[in-house]
Amino acid sequence: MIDFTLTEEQRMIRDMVREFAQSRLKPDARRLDETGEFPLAALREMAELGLMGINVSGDHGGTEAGVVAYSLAMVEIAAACASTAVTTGVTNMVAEIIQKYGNEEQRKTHISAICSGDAVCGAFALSETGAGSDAGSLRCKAVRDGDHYILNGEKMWISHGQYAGVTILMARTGGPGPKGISAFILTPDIPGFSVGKKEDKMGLRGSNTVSLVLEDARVPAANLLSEEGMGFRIAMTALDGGRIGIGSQSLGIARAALEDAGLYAAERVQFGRPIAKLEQVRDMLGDMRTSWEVARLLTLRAAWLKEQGLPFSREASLAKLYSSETANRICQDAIQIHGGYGYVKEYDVERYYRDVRVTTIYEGTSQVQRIVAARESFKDALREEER
Amino acid sequence: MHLQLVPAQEALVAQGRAFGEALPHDTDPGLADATLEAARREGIAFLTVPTERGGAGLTVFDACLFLEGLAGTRPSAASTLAAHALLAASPLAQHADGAAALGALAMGRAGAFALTEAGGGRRLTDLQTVARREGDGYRLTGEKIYVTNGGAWALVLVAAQVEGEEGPVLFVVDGDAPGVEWRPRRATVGLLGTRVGDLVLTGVASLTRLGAGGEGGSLIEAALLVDRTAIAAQAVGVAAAAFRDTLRNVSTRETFGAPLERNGTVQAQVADMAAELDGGRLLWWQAAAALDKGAPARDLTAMAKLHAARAARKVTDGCLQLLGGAGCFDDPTAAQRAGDARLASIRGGPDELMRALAAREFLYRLKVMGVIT
Repeated sequence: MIDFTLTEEQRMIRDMVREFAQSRLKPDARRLDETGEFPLAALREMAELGLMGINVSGDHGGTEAGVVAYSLAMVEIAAACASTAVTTGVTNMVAEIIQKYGNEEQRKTHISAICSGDAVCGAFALSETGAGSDAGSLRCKAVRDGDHYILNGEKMWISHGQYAGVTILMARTGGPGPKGISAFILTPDIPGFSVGKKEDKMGLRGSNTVSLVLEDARVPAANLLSEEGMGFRIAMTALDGGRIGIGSQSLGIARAALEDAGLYAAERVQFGRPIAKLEQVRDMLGDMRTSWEVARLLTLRAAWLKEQGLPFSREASLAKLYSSETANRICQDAIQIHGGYGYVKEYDVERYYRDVRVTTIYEGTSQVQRIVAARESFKDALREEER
Repeated sequence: MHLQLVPAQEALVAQGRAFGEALPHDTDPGLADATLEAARREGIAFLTVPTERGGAGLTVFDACLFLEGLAGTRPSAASTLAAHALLAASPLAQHADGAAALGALAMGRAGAFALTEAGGGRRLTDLQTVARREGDGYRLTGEKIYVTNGGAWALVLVAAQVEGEEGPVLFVVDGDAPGVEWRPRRATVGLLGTRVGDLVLTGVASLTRLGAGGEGGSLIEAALLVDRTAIAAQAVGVAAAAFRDTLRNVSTRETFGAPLERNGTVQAQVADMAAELDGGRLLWWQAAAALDKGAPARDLTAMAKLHAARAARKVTDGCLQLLGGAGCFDDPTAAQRAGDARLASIRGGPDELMRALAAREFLYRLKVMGVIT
């Protein structure tokens, strides 16, 4: 039977993270945005709370609370500080992917480091200057040399790449196309592996985004994740899950914008009454609230399906597509409702607007999500015909 | 938490679809009668009414599943059945005084619910239809418009203002009683097979008054919330059927030597439609689940209908676009579905009202609780 109620554990985690995020992360969010400071201390506290491996087995220090709990936590973190949320999201994704594809040694070493906070965070390096949505065309090269692989190339747009104690990096070990790609686990001590240019971004300024440079980097062969040629599949699996994370992050930012807009509209008086009572403002609030609810349920469904071990690729794409697009509109409308005050830094909505902008771009653009979701929708329609 | 239908629930959707397929065509003038007749025969005419009162004993959720399936094949039949069962039979079953009228519905009368009045939206406390006490009973005078299943064959629940009382009261009126005049409406946009009429009451004796003063408002409110959820489910049913048929059509076509289903422009339309449609379904699920638990659902039902109706409009319109010329000639199904979906944004309270309700509840929760969930 259909049931939308959270379990006791899910509710506890949501409330705990809400309390932490509102009291610890939110007060710093504006400063992180202004200074570009990376929240090392807060991330350490979050690891102690078990927020770096929420859907990871307890054997290696994970919280083992499931995908729904992970999504709920991401919403709460993003509602307080979107920058910290993306760091949390990618780190959880890296821990999960090592759990799924790593061997016992790799799990023991790297998942423990992530969950304990010793690794600070985990990074995921797929994109390159010439390979964005078309990840299968990446050029970063890995050549086997005895017990090592020698890696050369550059990775782009790597979230918190400068601070990550563990990085999953895709490089080409074989021929052209997706099948020639392999995944490696990189740690900062690897010779020839360095941090390149730091990006000066529009939003999420409290999350660090850099390029990673590989110059004859010597990666132990033991750091190959799964087998040669599995890299593209690993990346796509990671991104399927990552989409739930970014859908949730979008929801969190949008909720903050929606709440701020509602509170402002209820207090701001024009024409002798609160603007929330003016039809056009009320209509915007009704639409924002409703579309947020749609996004919330699409994301929750994808998370629940993944948690049940059921296919969720189509649903995760729809969730990410709808949540990120909707969140952008909500943040835009929140500025509109604030009027001139929304355009200045005295209020938070201009930051939400900048922070949310990237959600339709990273972890697969809206355009890529549409291709995935459409393909699956066609399959579903034809499958129903066979029945 | 469980966010996927179980097989028994999927079977209910299929059952609704099959029930519709066995009925006359959706624009057939005999559809309304055939629908209620077949529903009685199969024991589902009362949907949510408890079995001990002669109903099918379905939850709101399961009734909406059936209606979603039925709307996929006979949208007009779904709206006929929903008005009969959810707006007439269900309020009657909730009240001891409704037993006789419920019995008459079981025997062959159609159930109708008359709330809307001419002259634009008004509050339930400001109805212009009045009931005057006369002896042991009441006489009703006023005009109601857009009454689904309305006609001499119907027993009608009429919302009226009793002189000297606060709030609306529901009265049972025989559609064939002296002083009743029906003015049939001819549908132009959609749900062409649903019978709709305007009702003029001139000193009509009521058969029954449902409940004491003040009860009427909550009976009406409860029926409206269920009806809105059911309209959302029907909208999803219409759109899902259109979407499925369209995807099958598209998957067989090529443009400029390449399969249409791999064209990015087409993929983008399909994915956006899928997101809207799935969202509508999840929203009505949530609203129905809340109603079945007795949880507050005014905002959930409003959001469900608002989104599902708009989604159904976008999807059915998008289907016409994807079908191209094929959707505009010969087979009227695609165009008709767009018309059927169109009404979901109007009936049961228009989008504008749903949006205002969603905003009002949101602001209230924000003020009281500080967060929205």
